[in-house]
Amino acid sequence: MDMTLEGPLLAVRGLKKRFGDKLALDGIDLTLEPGMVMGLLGENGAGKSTLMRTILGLLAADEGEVLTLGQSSDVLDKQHKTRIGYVPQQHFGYEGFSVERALALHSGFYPDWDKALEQSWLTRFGLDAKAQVNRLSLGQRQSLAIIMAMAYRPSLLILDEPVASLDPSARRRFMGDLFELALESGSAVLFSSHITSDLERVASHVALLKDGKLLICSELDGVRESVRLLNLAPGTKLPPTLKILGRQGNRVVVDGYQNEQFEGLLAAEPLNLEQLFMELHP
Amino acid sequence: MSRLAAFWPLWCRDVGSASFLGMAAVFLGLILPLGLLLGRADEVGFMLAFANIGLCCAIAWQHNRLHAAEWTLVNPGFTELVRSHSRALLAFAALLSLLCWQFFGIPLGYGALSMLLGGGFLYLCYLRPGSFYLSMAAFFAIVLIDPLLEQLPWLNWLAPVVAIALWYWLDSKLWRGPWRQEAVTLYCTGMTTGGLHLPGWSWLSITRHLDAKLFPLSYFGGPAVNAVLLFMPLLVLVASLALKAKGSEISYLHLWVQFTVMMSSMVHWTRCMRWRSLDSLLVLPLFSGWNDFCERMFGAQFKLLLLTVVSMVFSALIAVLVFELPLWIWPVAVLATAWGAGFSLAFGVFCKNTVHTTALMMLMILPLVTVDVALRFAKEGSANPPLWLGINGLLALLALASMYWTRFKLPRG
Repeated sequence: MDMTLEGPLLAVRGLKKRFGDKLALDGIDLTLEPGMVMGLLGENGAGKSTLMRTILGLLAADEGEVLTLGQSSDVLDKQHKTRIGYVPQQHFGYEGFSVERALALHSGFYPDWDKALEQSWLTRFGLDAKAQVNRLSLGQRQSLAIIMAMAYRPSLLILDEPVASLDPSARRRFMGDLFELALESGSAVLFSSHITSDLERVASHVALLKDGKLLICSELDGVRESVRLLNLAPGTKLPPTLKILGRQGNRVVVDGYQNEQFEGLLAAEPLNLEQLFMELHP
Repeated sequence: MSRLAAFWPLWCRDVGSASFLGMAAVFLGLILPLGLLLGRADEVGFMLAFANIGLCCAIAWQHNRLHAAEWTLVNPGFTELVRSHSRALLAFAALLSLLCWQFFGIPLGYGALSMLLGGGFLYLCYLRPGSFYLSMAAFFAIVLIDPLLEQLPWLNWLAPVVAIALWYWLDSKLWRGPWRQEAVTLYCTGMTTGGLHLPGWSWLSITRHLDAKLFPLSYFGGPAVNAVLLFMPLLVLVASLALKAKGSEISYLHLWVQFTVMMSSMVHWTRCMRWRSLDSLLVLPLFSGWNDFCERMFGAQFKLLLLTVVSMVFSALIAVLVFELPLWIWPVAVLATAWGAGFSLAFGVFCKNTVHTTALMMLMILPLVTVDVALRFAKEGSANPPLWLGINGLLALLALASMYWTRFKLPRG
């Protein structure tokens, strides 16, 4: 289906979402361009799933703007939906079907469904097409959900902890496929995961959500270069160019560090994503 | 893609909607023998209303599932497919009402009021998914239809118009809602309970006591079945006195027998629905292996049969005394209940899903027909009571033997 889109595949501006008194998303700004693979990090309850649901129009935003494939997420039409792939954390709805019957029905909704791709992933994940969906293991169900979301090469792919139940080899292969999809088809991918090593391997960008706020949203390489754990002498004043992401006594995690030296700085350590996550969630 | 594509796996193999479609099928199954064989056209309306409410509950369940599973709302055509299926069910319900009107003379208001009731229930579920737990209340509200039509006969032409308008409005409103966390909770609970909310009755100490006696059967069904059986004679007494006061000469004993047998089948229905929770029961230090579990289930089934029979002893006696029926009808009704419930319990152990339990419930047609025919013979004075007692007694013994033979046939896993 030819739907040319000028501008980003996803544009989120000043998004706020409340549940009662709780502000679940607090002024989120986020952009996904073709070819970007953005990993979304955050502890449980940080707002990752809420962000994804709002992007997909499953939840209405209280404030701000969400343009998904150039269309307001509240009114996504059929044409736009055929270009979106989504793997939720809980995937149910096809319990009464066999795998092949579920795929046959599902493929009917997507004009660009690639049968060959479906078959290759079925083989790759080792899924028996004749098996009943309600008898699949959690990991097998997740594999099926992934095939259902990706076999039509969507322009925008949103995955909420897609690999949580996959075994390590399936996880590794899937991550490779994800990266290839983004490179070959120019798709944009937003995926959340607690497995930071996966994220580091395939993500081009990373977004870190804490208490409904985006602390970091930039290229992964940029994060590696500019985020540091600083060990400071008591009473040290930080240069105003540094953005404080988290602080525990004299240990301060900052963004925007450019190898500058200043009085009171005892050490500046680079952090990988896991270390960064642990420092920000003590 | 056909508008009815995948109807069977989506609706009939989903534990929630299958429960209610199964219920509708049971009541539809009763329409034919009641209307054609027994000539009880007055009871056909009741069955039609039950079937219609069952269809509406199935639609409400699917509506909830759509708003629980996130991907279905992102999918470009899934919602429309379920909507098409729902429309087909509504058309079927409308057709049924017309057929019952045409062939059995059931007023159109009967079908229309039940569809209004079902539509109202669906709207409540749309406003708040938790309202789905009131599905049983929707079924019980059917008893209001008859007196309403009696008092307000103009409802016969007004109700169809309002029902069509309501469903047209619901169809345009229902299918655009957002994803809802409440719907997920309801769906997950429903997957283990079959969408049926079984009240606790824990305030009544005697049902708690019975519950303990009927373990492990009560683990699946809860104390609701026991409570209904316990209060059955009281219900029969009130209903019989009310009917008598209205000048009715129909005892409805055949329906009380049918209802009591249905209660026995219900325990296997709830067992199938909650079979997923079997593992957590088996890991408790209560049973010495699978065979011990089966033995205990058999023991509990036997006690339930005893309770069913005792309940019918009182219910049938009340009906016989209030309507001055020949005394030999009393043991016939009790024995018919005993073999109806006994066979239901015996063959119920083979059930693995709602399709099986729906088929099982068809068994209740047999004792219903037996008691109804016995009542007719009694009225005509042409019956041979020893023959009736002998045949029903023999069937009761056969039912007991069947229960014993099938005690280890419970499906495992």
